[in-house]
Amino acid sequence: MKATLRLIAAIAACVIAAAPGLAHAQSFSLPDLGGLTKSGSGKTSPLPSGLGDAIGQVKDLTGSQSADDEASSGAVIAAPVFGAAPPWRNPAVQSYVNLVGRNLARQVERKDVLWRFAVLDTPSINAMAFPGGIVVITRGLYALLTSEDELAAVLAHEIAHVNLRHQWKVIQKQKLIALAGNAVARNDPAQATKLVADLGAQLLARGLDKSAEFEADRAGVVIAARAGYDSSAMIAVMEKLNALKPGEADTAMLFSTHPSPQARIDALTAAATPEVEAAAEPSAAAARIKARH
Amino acid sequence: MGGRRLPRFRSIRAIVIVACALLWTGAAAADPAHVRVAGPLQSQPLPVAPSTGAIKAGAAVDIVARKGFWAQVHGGALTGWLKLSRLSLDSGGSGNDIAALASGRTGSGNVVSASGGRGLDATDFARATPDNAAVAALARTAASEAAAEQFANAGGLKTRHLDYLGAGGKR
Repeated sequence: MKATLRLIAAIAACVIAAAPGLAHAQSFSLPDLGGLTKSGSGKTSPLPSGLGDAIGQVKDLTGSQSADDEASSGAVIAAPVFGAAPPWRNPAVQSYVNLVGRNLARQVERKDVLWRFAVLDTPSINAMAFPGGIVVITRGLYALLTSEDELAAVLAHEIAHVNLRHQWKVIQKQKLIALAGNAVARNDPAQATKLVADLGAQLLARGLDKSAEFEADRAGVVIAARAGYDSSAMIAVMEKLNALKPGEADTAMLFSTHPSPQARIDALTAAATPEVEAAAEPSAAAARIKARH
Repeated sequence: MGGRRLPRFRSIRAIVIVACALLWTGAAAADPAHVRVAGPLQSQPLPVAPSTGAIKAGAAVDIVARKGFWAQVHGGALTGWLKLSRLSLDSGGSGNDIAALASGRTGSGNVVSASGGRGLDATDFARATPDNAAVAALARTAASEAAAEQFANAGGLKTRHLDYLGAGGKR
């Protein structure tokens, strides 16, 4: 696990170091992440501290099945997101979202996850999941939702990503790490730094491929319906997203990291079984969200 | 007598006005669309419901109702239900844009506008000071399984047994 933490921390540090706001990198610190300043090669290197170590530990990541490794890396990747958009200071909503989310999580197979949910204080419209069970929804997206069924649909999609280990698999399989290793071997630290920074940016932007998003849509609909929610609520959410303008800043990241809402509606509608369609009714709890807006 | 007739007349007039308004609303709610995928129309929004006829690709229809994954359409002599993915909405301006139907672009949705603030992107995350304390605090606000179960029961949620969906569905 420690090796994993070193790798992820190094990636995060590289991302931060590569960004114009270098001053922030000075204050970057993570608890209990020894080895950040230790050079794995023992040679003087212009690489950011820890990068040599990090690249040297690729095998540890690609082979890890540890839930602890997954959770630790997820926390490290989530930290900059919480730095950019803090939790919304609305305890009632935070508690509500945690209850809806935790109830949904009861419907999935994985029992080794500590599920934690948060609404981030930003008008941007998005939701994200991190390895290990951290799920966030932005205040902007929360404001679009008009029923608990719709909230459940969004959270269930993110829960599905964690249940299926989508992000964790990206970390484990990311070839950019191997390319960065090659760049180090060629004594090309600038290229290595760029590759690792690119990897971190991809992780933070949740750059999953479309098939993973469609898979999470299908699984999320079932998870929500299992919990008693309207199986068609995700269609309603997609309809709302489709009405937003992709060019607007508040939606730019959402649309750049997901298939179009129309494509998602088409895929969901095509995949729905009669049993899932029969669950397309507003739940008894649908109106509960109105007291939390 | 006359003093009693006037309120009655006003009531009737009010009813007529309301009825006209409802009719107008109903007419406005019928969104024009075209059929993308030919096939049967169903008498109910269920694949096993009796067919009311077959409709061709490209046929012009009006969407008169929605339910879950389905839309009820009227075209020519045919009326029936079909899945949303078989339709292309004419208004909204973007081809297979059935999603605009209940989203606000056609006036029947409930979309709130996003604030004008600059959106977050990966660059913001890269520039931000990581907030490890905020991440650690999530464990303190996480709901327990028991609390979540109690919450579900209080909301009247009834669990269902459902299999996961395949990419192609099961017809």
